[in-house]
Amino acid sequence: VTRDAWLEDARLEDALRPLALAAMIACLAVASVDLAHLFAPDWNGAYFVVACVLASLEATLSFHVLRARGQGGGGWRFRVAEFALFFLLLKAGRYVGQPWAAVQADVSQWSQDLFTFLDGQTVVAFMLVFFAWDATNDTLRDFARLGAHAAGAAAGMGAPQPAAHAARTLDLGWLDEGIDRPALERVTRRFFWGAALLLVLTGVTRLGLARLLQLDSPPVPGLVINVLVYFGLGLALLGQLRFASLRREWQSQGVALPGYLAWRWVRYSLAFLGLAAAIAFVLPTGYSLGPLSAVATLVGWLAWLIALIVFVLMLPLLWLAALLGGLPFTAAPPAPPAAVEPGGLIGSGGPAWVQVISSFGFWALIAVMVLYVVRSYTLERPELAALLALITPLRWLRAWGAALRRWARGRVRVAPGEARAAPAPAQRAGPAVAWLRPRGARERVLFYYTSVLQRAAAAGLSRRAAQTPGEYRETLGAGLPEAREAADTLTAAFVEARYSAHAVDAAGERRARGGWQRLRQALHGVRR
Amino acid sequence: MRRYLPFLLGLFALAALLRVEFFFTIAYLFFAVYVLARLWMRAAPAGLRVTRRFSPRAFCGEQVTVDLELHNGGRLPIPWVQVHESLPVDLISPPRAQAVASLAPGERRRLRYTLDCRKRGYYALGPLRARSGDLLGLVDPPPWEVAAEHLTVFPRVVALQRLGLPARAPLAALAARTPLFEDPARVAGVRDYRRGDSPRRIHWTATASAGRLLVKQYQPAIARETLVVLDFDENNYTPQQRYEAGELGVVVAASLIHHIAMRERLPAGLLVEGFDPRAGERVRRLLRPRRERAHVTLLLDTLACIQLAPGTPVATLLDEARVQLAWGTTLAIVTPRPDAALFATLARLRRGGFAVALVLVQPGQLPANLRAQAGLLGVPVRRVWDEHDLEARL
Repeated sequence: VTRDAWLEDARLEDALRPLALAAMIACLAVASVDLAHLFAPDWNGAYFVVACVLASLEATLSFHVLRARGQGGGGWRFRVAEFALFFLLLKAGRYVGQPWAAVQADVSQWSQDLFTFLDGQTVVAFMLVFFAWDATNDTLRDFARLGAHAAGAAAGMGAPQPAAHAARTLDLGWLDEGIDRPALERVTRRFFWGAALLLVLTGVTRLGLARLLQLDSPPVPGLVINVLVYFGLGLALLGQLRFASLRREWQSQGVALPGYLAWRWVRYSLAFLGLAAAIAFVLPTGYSLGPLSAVATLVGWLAWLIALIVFVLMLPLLWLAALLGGLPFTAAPPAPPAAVEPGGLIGSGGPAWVQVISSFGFWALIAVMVLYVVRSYTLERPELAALLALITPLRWLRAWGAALRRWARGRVRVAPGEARAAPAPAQRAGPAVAWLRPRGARERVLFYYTSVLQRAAAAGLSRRAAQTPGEYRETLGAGLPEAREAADTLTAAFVEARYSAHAVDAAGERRARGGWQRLRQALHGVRR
Repeated sequence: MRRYLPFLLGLFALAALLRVEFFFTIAYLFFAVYVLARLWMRAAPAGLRVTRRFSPRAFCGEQVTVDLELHNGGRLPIPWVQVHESLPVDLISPPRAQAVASLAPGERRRLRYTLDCRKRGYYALGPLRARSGDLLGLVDPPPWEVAAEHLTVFPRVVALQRLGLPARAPLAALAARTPLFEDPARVAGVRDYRRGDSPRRIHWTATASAGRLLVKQYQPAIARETLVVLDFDENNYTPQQRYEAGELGVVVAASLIHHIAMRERLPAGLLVEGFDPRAGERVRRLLRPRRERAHVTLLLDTLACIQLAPGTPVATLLDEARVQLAWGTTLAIVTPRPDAALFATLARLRRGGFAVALVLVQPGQLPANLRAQAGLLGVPVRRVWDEHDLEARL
């Protein structure tokens, strides 16, 4: 068996995925047990962790069994037996490590009072185990939807293969993805929520409840193994899922998959994640000034700087006033803010000023990253960007940033058409309140088209009032020959969105977005 | 992955709120994954070069193999790329070629497909659309395109055994008894130099050999040129026979040109008006007779691309083109339906010193009145309806 065939083997996928899921569930269970130890330090939570892992593995087994029997969602007897087994195992696990006499005493009470059998600890543990079982089950179901392993993938690039779907044979139909996007979204959402839960549980455990609201308390150092394992496995699983989804899509389109692809995917993934991890571990994580103290210190220094500038500007006037009034000139500059005392620092090591500067650097790095993420997020959602552009201070900031960029590029002389950084709201497509509405695929396509109209008008390719979309497409194509295809795509999508009664699907919206992005680049080149 | 960025923001918020240093590392990890994926997807696909290798011209019935080479000229690997080449349905079924590849830096991969040239025409191979992405599905760069290239499929050429066209015309490569022109390409012999002979006629090799001045004697001819006129006015074709008659007309014209230029080695030209997909509009092409091989290729190119379109009647075409033709040029007119205007034009052409032949592309026998009318004018008429006819009658 070659390496490529081994990687392509569906059995490997079927074995590794449940193991990864069980390990991630175990990470969550460990975090839960650690948190529980804050309240009940003597509680032995090992059995709970084992129970969660077993529940996850059992969910895999039952999923395959019921699937093979053709009862994906049924088989209630099977389910009842499963849950009863879980409960009994948890009940038995609770007694692990306890003296036999205590166990006997507890068991003897069951016949007298049934509620002693259904004790709170076991019930809570059962609910958490059920949660683990359910999450595994749902995830496996989504995995099945996403990456049903189609056998017989042809190796290597070769002659065109017959397609399974005739609809994919023409024009842009090949871009219609075969990926079950809702399933993919559910899996990622589950991973993210699990990650958030894990961080909260671990963070509260490490920090302690008492220091939770003390924002200037020192950060907790150290490696958290279960968090590392959870995120590492999660990223690996997402990568594998991406590969499986694409593989299924390509196979449904009749595209021959090269045999080396799986191994390349593994190799590139390892290199990529390794590089990202190296960067992550190199960047600073500690700080000596809390975020609030850092902001307060920064504001104090900025205020002092402004006061100093004002003082310098007022100095001649003060001197004149003193001269005219016959008074002695006694103006003194504003005092700088008090230096941060070593006691005010929450970290240790090095001189105070070094700690302050490194803290500023740390928070500045975080701020830059957060701003980058926010910017990327708004760029991916043009309707959100349009909404934010209506907020005047943000518009000023944007104009200021654009002017700064122009200045940095040595473009001090601004063309008359570029003098106004942001068009007035009245000139935007549609009324301002329209941007507040939630947007579907149809509205997005209309937005892309109107956005291109505005940008093209600024580049001298404005649409005449009497021009139909088809006629305007010719104008755009003549002005931007390199983006003619994009103009065709976007115009077709616009006509469909504007004049059709049927729903605009996500694939159509993505095609329109592609056309919009290419046209935007082309128009940017024209304006530049 | 639509929720990745909100999740990343949440990671930063949780790290700042819970103040666990390792959480910042996790946030950095996810941030680095996102930024690296974006940078990768911005840089890597830019290095992709796609090259098509194929013979841009082919004859009907041939097979053309197209090698599509994907070359990653960048420094970063391309984790995966899906390419989809749109192809003409007349040449291949299903009309596409597609593949998925992963390209290391500097690596080349080839996709080969074969086109079956069943029909003449000017075909676009492509555009090729390609898309790529990162390993986690974080970045979804828009698909990009590689412009289409074109394949010209020449019309079928039938080997003509006999042309049977007017004897005065050089279609039959006959020398005239009354020399009006001399064909410098046909040297009949040498003679002694006489006062007044052009120095250009001196045969320097023979002069050197004989030791006295000798000049070339050329074969006389009254016309050296043949112009094939193809009537491609859509209005002149009946809807039922439009496709067959049009295509057969092209085959007749191509076969005549090929025979005259390649077998007889005489100049051949073409006059046609129709829709040219290369120009995107109706065009009139008057390619005056020449004999070079490249010119023949040009004529066949034109015949490969031309399509029926409503246009100028062939009689008007001839009237407008005659002033640009040499006296004595033979005109071979390929038309589906001659009308009175055409016969009137043919009579004028005959009187003007042109040799004329008519090739009718239509089924059935020649109508008697048409035969009589052509006979009165002295215009030979041939009827062709299939390629067998073409070979047998011409």
